[in-house]
Amino acid sequence: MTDTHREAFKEEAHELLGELENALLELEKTPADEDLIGRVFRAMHTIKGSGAMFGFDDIAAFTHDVETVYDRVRGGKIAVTKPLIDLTLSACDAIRRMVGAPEGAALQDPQSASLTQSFRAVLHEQEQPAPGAAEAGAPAPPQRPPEKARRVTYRIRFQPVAELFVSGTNPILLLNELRGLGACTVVAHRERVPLIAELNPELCYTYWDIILTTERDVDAIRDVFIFVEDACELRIDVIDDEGWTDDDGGYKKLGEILVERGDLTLDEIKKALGSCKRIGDILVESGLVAPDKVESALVEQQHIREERQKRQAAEAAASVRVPAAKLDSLVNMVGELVTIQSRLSQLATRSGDLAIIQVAEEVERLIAELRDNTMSVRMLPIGTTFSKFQRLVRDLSTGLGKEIVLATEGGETELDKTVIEKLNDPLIHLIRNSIDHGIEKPEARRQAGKPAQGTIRLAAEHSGAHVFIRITDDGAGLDTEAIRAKAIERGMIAADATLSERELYALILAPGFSTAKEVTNVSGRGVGMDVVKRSIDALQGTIEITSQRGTGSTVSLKLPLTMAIIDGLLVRIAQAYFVMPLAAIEECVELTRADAAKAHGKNLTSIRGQIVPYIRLRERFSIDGQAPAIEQIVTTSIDGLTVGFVVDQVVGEHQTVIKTMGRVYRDVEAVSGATILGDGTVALILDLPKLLQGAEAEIRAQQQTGRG
Amino acid sequence: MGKIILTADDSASVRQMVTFTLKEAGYEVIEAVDGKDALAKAGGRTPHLLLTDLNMPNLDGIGLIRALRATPACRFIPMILLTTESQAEKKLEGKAAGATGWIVKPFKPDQLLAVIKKVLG
Amino acid sequence: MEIRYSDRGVVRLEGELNIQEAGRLRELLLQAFGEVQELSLDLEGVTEADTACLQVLCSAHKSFLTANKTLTTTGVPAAPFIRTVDDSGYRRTVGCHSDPQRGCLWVIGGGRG
Repeated sequence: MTDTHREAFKEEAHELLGELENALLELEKTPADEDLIGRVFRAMHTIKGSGAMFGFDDIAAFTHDVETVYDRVRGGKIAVTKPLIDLTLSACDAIRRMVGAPEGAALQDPQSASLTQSFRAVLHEQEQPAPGAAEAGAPAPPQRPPEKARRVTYRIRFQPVAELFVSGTNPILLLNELRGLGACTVVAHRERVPLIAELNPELCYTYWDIILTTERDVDAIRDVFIFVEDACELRIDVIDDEGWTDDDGGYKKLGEILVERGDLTLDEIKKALGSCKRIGDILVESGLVAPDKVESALVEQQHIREERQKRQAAEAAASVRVPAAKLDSLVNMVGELVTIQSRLSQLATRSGDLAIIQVAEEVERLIAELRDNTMSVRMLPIGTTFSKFQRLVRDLSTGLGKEIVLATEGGETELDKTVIEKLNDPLIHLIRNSIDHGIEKPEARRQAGKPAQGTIRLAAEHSGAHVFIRITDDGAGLDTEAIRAKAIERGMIAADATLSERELYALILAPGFSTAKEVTNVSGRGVGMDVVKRSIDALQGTIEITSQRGTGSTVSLKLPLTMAIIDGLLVRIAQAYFVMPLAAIEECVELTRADAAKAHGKNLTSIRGQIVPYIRLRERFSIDGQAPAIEQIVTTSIDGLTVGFVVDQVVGEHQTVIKTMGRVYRDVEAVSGATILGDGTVALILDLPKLLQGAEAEIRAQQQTGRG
Repeated sequence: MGKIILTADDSASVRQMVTFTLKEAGYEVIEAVDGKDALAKAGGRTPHLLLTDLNMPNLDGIGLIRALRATPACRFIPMILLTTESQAEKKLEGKAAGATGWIVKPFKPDQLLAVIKKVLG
Repeated sequence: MEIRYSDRGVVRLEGELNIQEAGRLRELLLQAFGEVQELSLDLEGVTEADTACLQVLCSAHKSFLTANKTLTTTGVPAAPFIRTVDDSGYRRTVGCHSDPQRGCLWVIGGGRG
C-alpha cells in the first residue's frame, strides 16, 4: 500500500473522529436519536473498514468491538447510557493515538486493551439473557489437511433463475471461469426456450450441463457461482476420479448417464431399448428426451473417455511393468559387478598406477549408485500386505466372539519385494496369536477395566538399513509363570533356572512351545512361534518380544531392507573366509590361549564379568591346522542369548551380495549362502542361529551318550 | 477505450484507493461521493459497472442499486456492493435490490480486480 | 444493433447483439415470422453477442420450424458471434429433432449453417 493512501486515510480518520465526537455529545443529550446512532455507527464502520484496507490492523481490530456495540445499539438491543458515551469518547482518543503512531509500531497501549475489555463486557451483558446463543469464540472446525491434487471430473448442472440477466449476471463469464479451472465441456439446454411470440427476451430460459476435469476441489467450483448461489439450482456430482481403479478407458452407457442425471427414468429407457436403433436416436425420436439432453450426455461420455485415455497414456508413460524375473537377473548382474569392482579396486591399489586407481574409484562410485538404484526398483510399500489383514482380523475375531480392530501405520514403508512376500505368513501367524491368545473376550476385558474392543496395531518404520515391524496388542500380556512351567515341563530349562523376562519370552520362540490352554482353530495345533522365528531368521531378521501382564504384548521384527545384499562382518579361519550378518553382532574381543585355559576345557569366557559361552568355528567346520596364539571372539545376540564365535581374524565389515548356493548344498546347515570376495575367493555366509542350534544339539547328544 | 466503472463511496480514502486501482488496471472511473451523486452521474455516460459502498449518506448503496436497475441503460449492468462481514442480511437485501455481487471489506486491490473481472469479463 | 434489409430477403444484423438489444431483436424476428416464409440472417457484422440474443435466435428458429418456415444464416458469422455460441455451449453437432432436416442454427460451419 502506498504511503499517499495511508496519509489520505489518516486525514480522513481525523475528520471522522471529529464528527464522531460531535455526534456522541449530541447523542448524550438525545440518546434515542436514531439518526445520530446511525452516524456514530457509520463513522466507526468507515474507520474500521478503511483502517484494515490501509494496513492499520490495530485500529481495525480495536474499532471492531466498538462497531459491534453500536450495531446492537442501532438494533435497539443496547441502550445509550452515559457510561457508554464516556467509553466511546475514550475510544475516540485511543483511535486518534493509533492513527498518530508511527507506521509499524503496533500500539500496545494498555489503555486501549482495557477499553476493548469494557466494550466486550457491554456486549456480554447484553448476551447474558440469551444463554442459548452460540458462543462467539466457538472453536473453529479442525482444518482438514490439504488434499493431494487429483484430477477429478465433475458433472455440474447450472440452472439459473429466469431473472438472471436482470441481476447483471452474464452466464458466459461464469462458464469461462469454469473453463479456467480445467478441461471443460459445456452444453446448453434450450428446450425451455419458448416460441418467439411467448418469449420474454429479458429472461434466461437456458440451463447448462458442464463436464469439468480439474485438480481443484469442489469449493473452487462453488466459488465460481458464489454470487448466484441463491439464484440458481446447482448440482455438482463427481463422475470420475483419477483414483478410481475401474477405468478400462470405457464409460457409462448413454442411458445410464441420463438416468443418473434424472433426465430419464429406468422404465422409460427399458421401453425405448425394445427397438434396435441407436439409443440416442430412439430417445429423441420418441420425444422422451430433449435432443440437448442427449447431446449433453454424449458430450459427457466423450469427455470422460478422452480424460481416461489421457490418464492411461500418462500412466503408461510414468510406469513400466516388468516381470520380476527380469529384476532378479538385473540384481544378480549388479551383484557380479560389485564383486568384479572390488577385485578391480584391489588390483588397482596393488598396481600403484594413479590413473588406474582413479578409474577404479570412479567405477566404484558408479556401481554403488547402480546398486542402490537397482535395489530401490525392487522396493514395494508394505501397505498392501497390511490391508489384507483387516479382513483376517475381522473374520477371526468374530469367530471367537471377540471384538478386535486392526490399526495399521507406516503402510508406505518400502521393503524388498521378496521380503514382503516372505513376511506374509509370519505376520498372519503373529496376528492370529494376538487374536487367539492375546486379546481377551469382551467380558474379561470389561472386568479388567479395559474397553470391550481390543486393538491390534500393526506398524512399520524405517531405521537405517532396517525396517521394524511391530505387532502390538492391548490384550492380557504374556504369563511368565505359565511360560516357565511349560518350559520346565518340556525340559527346556532346569526347574531352578533363573531367567530374565527377556529370556523367558525368547523361550516361546523355541520349537514346539505353546502356552494356550485350549487348542483353537485359530492358532491351530502344533505350529508354534518357532515357525515364525525360522521365517524371520531366513530373512536375516531378528524377533523380539516384550510384554506387560494385563496390558498387552509387542512382537518386534527387525528386517533388512533387502535380502540381496547384507551388511556382514568378514572373518577368516586359516585360509577360509566367512561372512557373519552384522545385525546380530555385538562386539569383538580377543581370546588368548591363557584365557581359554582358565575355563578348564569348557568353552566359556568372561566378558566384563558376564560368562559368555562360545563356539569354536575352527572345530565346527573341522578346519585343519593350528589356531593362532590370539584368536578373536565375535559375540552375537541370538534369541536373547549372548554367544561368541571364535575365529582366527576379523577382517572387517563387508557389504555382501548374497549368492544362493547350488541345489547340492541346499541342505548344508549353518550356511545361508555365499559371496565372492574382491580377489575371487568364495566366502560362506553363516547362519548363526542354526550354528547355535547345531552346537546345542551336539552337546545334548554328548550328555546323553555320557549318561548312557 | 477502457470500460467505464462508476464508483460510489463516502470515504475519500477508499475512493482514492479504488480509483487508483481501477485506473491502473485500465478502466475509466467516474467517482461519486454518495448514492445521490452516483445516480446523477450515471445519467451522463452509461457505466459498464457500478461499484458502490453500502452505508452512505443521502442515498445508500441499496437504494442506488434499486434506482439504477430501474433506468433502461443500466438495467443489465453488473453492480457490486461493498459490505463488511457484519452485514450479511444487507448482502441479501442488496441481492434482492439487484446487486450482482459483493466485495467484503477490507479488501486488497487484487481482490477488487478479481471480482470486477468476474462480473465484467 | 443495426438492422439492414437487402432486396433478396436477407436481414443483416450489425453491431452489438446483447441483452440491451434482445427486445428489439425479438420484435424484428416476431414481425418477420408473421410476414415471410423464408428468412435469412447475415451475422457477418456482429461485434458482440450474448446468451440473451442467442435465446431469441433459437426461439425464432423453433417458431419458423414449427410453422414449416425457414430461418437460416448466410455467409460466415463474425468471430465474436461464433465465440459466444461456443462459450455459451450453444454449438451443436446434430440439430434439434423438431427440424425435419435435423438442421440447427447452431451447427455452424457445417455447410448449411
